[in-house]
Amino acid sequence: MRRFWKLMKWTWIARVGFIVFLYLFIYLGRPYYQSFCFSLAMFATLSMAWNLVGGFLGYVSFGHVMFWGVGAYVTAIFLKLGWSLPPALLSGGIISMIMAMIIGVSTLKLSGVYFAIGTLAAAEGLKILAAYFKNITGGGGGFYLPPVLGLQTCALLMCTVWAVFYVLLCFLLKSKHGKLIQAIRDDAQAAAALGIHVFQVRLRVFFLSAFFVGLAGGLYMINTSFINPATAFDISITVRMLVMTLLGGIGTVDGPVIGTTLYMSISELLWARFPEVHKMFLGALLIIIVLFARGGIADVARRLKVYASS
Amino acid sequence: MLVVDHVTKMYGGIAALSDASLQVSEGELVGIIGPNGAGKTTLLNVISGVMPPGISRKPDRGKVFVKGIDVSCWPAWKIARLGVGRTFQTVRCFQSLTVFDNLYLGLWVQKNEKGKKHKINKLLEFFQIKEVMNVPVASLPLGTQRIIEVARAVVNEPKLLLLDEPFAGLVESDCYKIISLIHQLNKEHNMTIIIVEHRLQELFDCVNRVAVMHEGRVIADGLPNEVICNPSVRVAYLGEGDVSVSS
Repeated sequence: MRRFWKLMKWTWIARVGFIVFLYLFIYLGRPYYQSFCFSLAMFATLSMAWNLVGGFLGYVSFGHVMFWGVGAYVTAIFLKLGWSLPPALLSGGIISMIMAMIIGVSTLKLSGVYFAIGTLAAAEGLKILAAYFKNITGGGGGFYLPPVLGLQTCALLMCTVWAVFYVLLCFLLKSKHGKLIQAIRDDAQAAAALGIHVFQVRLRVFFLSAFFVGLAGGLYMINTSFINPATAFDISITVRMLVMTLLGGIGTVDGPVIGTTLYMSISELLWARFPEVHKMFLGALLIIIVLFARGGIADVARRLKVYASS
Repeated sequence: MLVVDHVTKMYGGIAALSDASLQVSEGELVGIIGPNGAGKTTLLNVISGVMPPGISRKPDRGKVFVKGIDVSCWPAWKIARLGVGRTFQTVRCFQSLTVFDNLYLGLWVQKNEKGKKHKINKLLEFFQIKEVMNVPVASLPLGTQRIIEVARAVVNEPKLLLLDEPFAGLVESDCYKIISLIHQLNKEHNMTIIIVEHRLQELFDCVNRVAVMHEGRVIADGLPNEVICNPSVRVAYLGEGDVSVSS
């Protein structure tokens, strides 16, 4: 038991240390690093949100980017209507959550590949809608927003959203509700036979995930001041959420954060040195991980620990 | 307590249950036997509302009443909250969770946190598995997992307990631990228990009534010794003679 607490203590020191490090980096660093930290915090939030549904519920979503796009558009529209930043940003998260309710009610009853296709279709549908309603979204030409915040403030806000989500997930997944989510992933029918309303739990988890993805989308919009349907509902963002989660360790609390940090750092280094072939290196890295470390970095660390202790 | 009223359940074009009827009174201990594919598990599925993925939980014909309430169209979680607990033919514990967490989830619907730990500890001590309470279920042998599944089903003290082959893969001493628990629950809580089982020796030590199923129907129902002497049962279940089952 003492060993467990010791391990827990070091895990928390590492988590809090990383959050503080990121804050300091944003606060003291040059704009290039601030921009990097913004992207890091944003993709860490997105991967954690994807992992909550894909890793802990066992529902692989190929359309998670839709909540990010909805959050970006809603925040931009409300800001343009003259709302102040906090309610506009929160509205982005809340409308994404409502979107999750509408999509979740119809897709969370599907299983496996049908859910993946259902969410992908929903994201593509929203992309078409965003291009069609030109009066509201600016159509294919995109939506411009006058700069609201500076890069540093934006990065600090994004980091705060990520940190809150990270700490919330750490506690949630260790709590009895976290056990419930894991039990449903293991065997939903057995859980239902115990009186657990499986669909309701899945829907709540989907809400939570969509809310933080929506917030991240809103902050992206504030940071870049521009969004168009092709970016807002770009499937490659969902793929990146998935890859970062797989790299770090799917179904683990810290996996997506580790995966995002590693992916973005390697990507940035390779991009700087080999601008023409950096994606090829990344592709090779991913093949190696899929072949030799399917559980991601978290699983490799666990195996090394077992090996060292034996 | 339970009325299964002329229920038919089709899996595709095959009738897993064909006009099956069964009545069980409160506090009864009933065993269900029959050859493979007779519809025993489907009967438990129809009662508990837990169906294999992709198959509707509603019976194609007939109704199921629990405590006088028609539950034919109810989802599994709602039937469970009415006081129906069950185990499965293949062990279905929550593999990534510990033994304690598995039992804790058995008590999920109980709002009052007080006393939950005591109930779990009592069961862990009864089955002598307290030393593995913090071990993930996936790392335990199948027999222990079967015991944990039974413990998870009874920890909430359901009014109607459905056990699907609870003795499969267990050594005799573990079987008798479960039999002793069944008798205790039946005596202390007047729990109604239905057991589907192929191990007749253990089953007959446990129940005071046996129903025999064949081709989706209940073909015999009564005291264990009388039922096993029934010629139709001997043909259908034990493969003796060539007497027509319908006769």
